[in-house]
Amino acid sequence: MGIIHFFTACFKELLKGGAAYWIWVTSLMLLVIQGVVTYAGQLQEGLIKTGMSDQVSWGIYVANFTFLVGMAAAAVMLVIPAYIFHNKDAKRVVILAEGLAVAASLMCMLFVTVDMGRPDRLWHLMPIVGHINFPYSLLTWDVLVLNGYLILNLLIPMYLLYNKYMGKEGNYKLVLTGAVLSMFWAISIHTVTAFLFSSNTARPFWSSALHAPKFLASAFAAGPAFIILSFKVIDMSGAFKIGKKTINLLAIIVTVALQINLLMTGAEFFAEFYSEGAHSASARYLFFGLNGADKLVPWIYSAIAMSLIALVLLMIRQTREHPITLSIACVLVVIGVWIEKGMGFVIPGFIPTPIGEIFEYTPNMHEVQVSLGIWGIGLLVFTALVKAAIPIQNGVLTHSK
Amino acid sequence: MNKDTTLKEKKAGVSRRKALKAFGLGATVAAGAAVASATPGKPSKVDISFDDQMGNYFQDHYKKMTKEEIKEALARLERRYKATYDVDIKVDNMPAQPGVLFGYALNISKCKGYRECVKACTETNNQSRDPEIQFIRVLEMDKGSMNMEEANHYFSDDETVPKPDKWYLPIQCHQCENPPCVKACPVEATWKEPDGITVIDYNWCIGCRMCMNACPYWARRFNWKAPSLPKEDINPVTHYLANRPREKGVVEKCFFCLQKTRKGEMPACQEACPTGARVFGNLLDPNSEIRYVLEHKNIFRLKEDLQTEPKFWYYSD
Amino acid sequence: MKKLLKLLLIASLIFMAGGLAWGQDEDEEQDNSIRSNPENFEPATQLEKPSDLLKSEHVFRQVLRTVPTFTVDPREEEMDAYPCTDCHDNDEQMPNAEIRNLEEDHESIQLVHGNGRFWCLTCHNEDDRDQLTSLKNQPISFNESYLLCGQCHFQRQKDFFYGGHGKRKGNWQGDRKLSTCTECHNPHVPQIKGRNPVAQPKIRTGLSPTKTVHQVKYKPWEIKPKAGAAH
Repeated sequence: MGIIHFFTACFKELLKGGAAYWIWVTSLMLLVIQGVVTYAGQLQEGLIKTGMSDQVSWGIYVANFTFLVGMAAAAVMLVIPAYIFHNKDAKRVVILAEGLAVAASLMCMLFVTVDMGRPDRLWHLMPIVGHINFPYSLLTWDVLVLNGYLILNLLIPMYLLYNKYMGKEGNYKLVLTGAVLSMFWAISIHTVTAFLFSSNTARPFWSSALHAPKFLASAFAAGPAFIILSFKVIDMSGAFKIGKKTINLLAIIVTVALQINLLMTGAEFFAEFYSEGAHSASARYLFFGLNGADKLVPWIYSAIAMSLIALVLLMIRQTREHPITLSIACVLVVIGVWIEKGMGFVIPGFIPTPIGEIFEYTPNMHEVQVSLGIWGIGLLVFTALVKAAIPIQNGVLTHSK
Repeated sequence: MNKDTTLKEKKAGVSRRKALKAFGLGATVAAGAAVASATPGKPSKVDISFDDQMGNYFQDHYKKMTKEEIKEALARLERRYKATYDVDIKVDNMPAQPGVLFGYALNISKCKGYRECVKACTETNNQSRDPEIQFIRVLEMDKGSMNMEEANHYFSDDETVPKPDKWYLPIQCHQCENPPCVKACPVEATWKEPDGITVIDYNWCIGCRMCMNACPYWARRFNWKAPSLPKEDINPVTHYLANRPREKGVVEKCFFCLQKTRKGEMPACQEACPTGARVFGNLLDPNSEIRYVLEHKNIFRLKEDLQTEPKFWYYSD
Repeated sequence: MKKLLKLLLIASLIFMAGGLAWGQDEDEEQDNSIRSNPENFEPATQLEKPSDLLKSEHVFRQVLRTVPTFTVDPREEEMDAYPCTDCHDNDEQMPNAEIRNLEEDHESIQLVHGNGRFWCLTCHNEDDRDQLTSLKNQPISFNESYLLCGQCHFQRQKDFFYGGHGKRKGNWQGDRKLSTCTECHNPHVPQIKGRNPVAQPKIRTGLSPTKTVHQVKYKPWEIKPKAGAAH
């Protein structure tokens, strides 16, 4: 019975809120609605609605997916200090990070679904009724780890919150096991996603051992940066006081991860261009343009510039600790990494094609609209989870009251 | 023992599917949406019975179907094609011949870039005409170089070929012995047949395009929308795993004209080549033309370093 | 025991060294010349009929004895003015072996083949106008032109017999039917003409092709282009 009370209490909590909350929720709803309507057109006519082609057969959908897997994995950066090192500041806010992981995993799945030519055949991917090519296909791995990660990140915080709601002491060992599991799982989701690309020897730009660690580094920069930004919003709303210490911890994580990511970008740049061969064609296209085609060049340099500016802001103590400059740095990191993984990684892997055709890709309005719709869903879910979790975490919302 | 278990598995599969069917009938909204996107062409105009739509939707993987189920599936397809295109299309499922492994060799000193193979391929294999799907790409490159990034894929039909300073390299599916596309597919919708041809179950493909990323020869094409195939262009002699009309949102590729070659005929591109640059045959027959070429000519394979063991060779005299 | 083993070891080493030395001796005796001397001497002979090439038992042609059987489509029925003896009946139109410009009849025939080395009667039989002729003046049927062409183009002929040149028609399994030489090559002008190709691939609506610049790569035998033009 308690569980039903718990959910109804949570749901009721969602309906309470000031004008700012309702404006935020309504605008997200509108974003979702336009996305759903646009996607309905794609369901009807097919992926022809997008800017993708046989040459560039994955586009902004998969780029978003790749970025968001990183965001989901980044929750681990608070899970480790909270559950393993018993950092009190981290423990207070870890549930919010797990909420982000849930929303991001969900968005990942949605992005994969909208990218599918036959979403009506999703059941083919299910074990037993379908016919999955496990363990050979990396995509089956991705489906498994993403679903697992979503479930883990739903169950752990729900267990904790439910106990807090009921005023019970939870089974600590159970939570610790779950936390350790989710730690490794977080690393695995992004590693598997990197392998999804680097397993293709047909595409030398992707087929590099560096991508799994680089994915993790960029994720551990962008994820915590996004968490900092959301904490600032929550802090401003006054619903939940987030300590300076927590923000500082996260800011240092962002700084270190960003440094590692930039180092790897540099290493990659050296390896591609010191002895440039046929396998560097995509890198040349990305950084300098190939045979006159150079649509991605401004993107990659703006991504690198954003990362560098953010790094400077983060490495100077005064700017790192100042709320405004920190926010600017975090925005730059999130956008920079988003570009780096999409326009700087997924797309150039297709250009030129394995048989040398240089055919460029630009996401069209349709793809942008559907993507915004999915972001809308993700942010709605994140908002809802945070909205329900905060009063429980603050001890305001309990069973007895 | 083995037979028993497979039989049991199959039976279990059938009952599972029946359960699924019942579930699907219940969830009318989901199934309705699914069917709308499952039918090719213009769903509103095509008259396909509800049973057929359900049968199509819940059809099992080709290799998991029993003989009866395959028979049903073929009949269902024929009915669907009749309703869609108003043509009597025969869908065959002839298995691979024992003792046959297909191989292809192409003489690059004979290829002059006429693109007759491309045309014949499309006419035989029921590809979509708009958007245009072609299985063969002919590259035009500078003599003295094999830099594919400098190749012209779109050399014009206004100019006479061969141009004096160019050479030509047609590329299609290389039917790798170790196909990376098969490994990449999450649902095993594509696999290598015993005669060495990698095929696709167009009714099982989920359209994720992983295989397109994995292919080193850019041999795979995607149906970005429902293929448009004029009635008069249809080749009614088809095979389930080969040239039957495709549907929206699935991947397709060259299958060495399976529907012809399994009957001992030549593939359409070999028949159409005006210069005799194409040699096709059984790699397991020591007296075959293909074996003569491989054993007596200087040959190379594209991207052999990837160790996918393509069964498509290039040679020159 | 140990001693015995040692002894055995030494003995085998000696044996191996001896074997090596012996092998080297043999290498030195090998003839490393690359001239094509036949291994078995045979006096000069000629095929009784040109078509015996494919059945012949003689040593030099061992390779060709394994040619898989094949047929070609008869050529004679396809020809416009066959039989040639309709005109060249050896009464009114006596064969004229004189080398001259063909201005009255057959003036449309351009003889590019051989760049002036040949005359009609190099290939057409003077005595039997319905036949072709071999270099040794043996008649060859118009249906078996491959026997004629192969006298000079012997490597092509070998490839043709086995499938490396020309084209197998219709099937890869079962009766083997080949396109004969003259189905593709005009014997008087054998080079195949260029022509326009089939239309280039279309890019689907909504997308546009990427405009690229064809970068002329630096060729060592050409003047190096200005810096910046090549990458």
